[in-house]
Amino acid sequence: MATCITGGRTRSCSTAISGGCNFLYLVDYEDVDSVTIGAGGDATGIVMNPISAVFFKFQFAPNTAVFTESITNENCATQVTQTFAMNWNGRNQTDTNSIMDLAGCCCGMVAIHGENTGLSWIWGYNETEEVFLSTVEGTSGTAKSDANQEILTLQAIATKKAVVFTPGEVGIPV
Amino acid sequence: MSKKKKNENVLRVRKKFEDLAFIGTSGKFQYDEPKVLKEFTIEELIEFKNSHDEKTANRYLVGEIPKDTKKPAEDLPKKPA
Repeated sequence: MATCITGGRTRSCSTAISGGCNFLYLVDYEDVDSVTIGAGGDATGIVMNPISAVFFKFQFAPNTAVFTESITNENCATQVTQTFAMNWNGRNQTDTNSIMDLAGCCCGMVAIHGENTGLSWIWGYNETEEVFLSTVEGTSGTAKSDANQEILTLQAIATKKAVVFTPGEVGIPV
Repeated sequence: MSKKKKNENVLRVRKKFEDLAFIGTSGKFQYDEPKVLKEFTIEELIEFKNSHDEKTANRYLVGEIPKDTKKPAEDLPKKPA
C-alpha cells in the first residue's frame, strides 16, 4: 500500500499572516500552454502560447478582495472550490465593458493573485478547472453614504488547491 | 556510428514546443522576460530538468542529460588544504 504521509508540519513564528489580497491578474486559459511545476510542488513559471500573450491586471478597491478555497473530501473524492471576490468602486462604462468581456470568456481563465502575506498564488491552470466570472452584483447604493460599486466573484472548481507562484508579481508576463 | 547515436539522445526541447517561451524561475536561472525554449543552452536545459517535476520536464524536454556534463565549480569536491 502506498504511503500517504511523508512528513509532519512545523509551526512558523515568523510567517506574515496579514489578511486580504493586493493584486489580481487574468489571462485567457487558451493563451497558457502550461504552468511549470517545480520539484517542491510550487509553480516556477509559465509557458505562454502564443508567446505574445500576456496577463492583464485588474485593480480593485483596497481591503475588498478575498480569496477563499474550500475542500470537500467525501470518500477521497476531492473537490476544491476557489473563489475570488473584489469590489470595483464607482460604476462606469469602462468597467461595464470589462465585466461583459469577463462574462464572455467561456473557455475560462487562469488567475494569479497576490496576498498580503507577500505570496502569489496561481489557479485555474488545469483543463476543466479554469476560472470563470460567476457573479456580479452592481449597485448604485441607496443613501449618499452608500458605495456605488460592482462586486465581482470569480470561481473555479478544481481537484487541487492553488499553488504558490514562486516568481511573484514581477514574474507575470504582462 | 555509435557516437552519432549517443548524440541523438542528448537533452533537448521537444520539436512542437521549440518556439514557445518560458518566463519564471528555473533553478538558478531567473527569466524576467520570456525566453524561447529553442534558445536554451544545454546548461539551462539541465537546470530546467533538475528543478521541475517529472510531468513538467517531460512535457517540454526529451533525451538524457549528457554523462560528461561538468558539475558547477561550487559543487566540485574541494581539495584539502
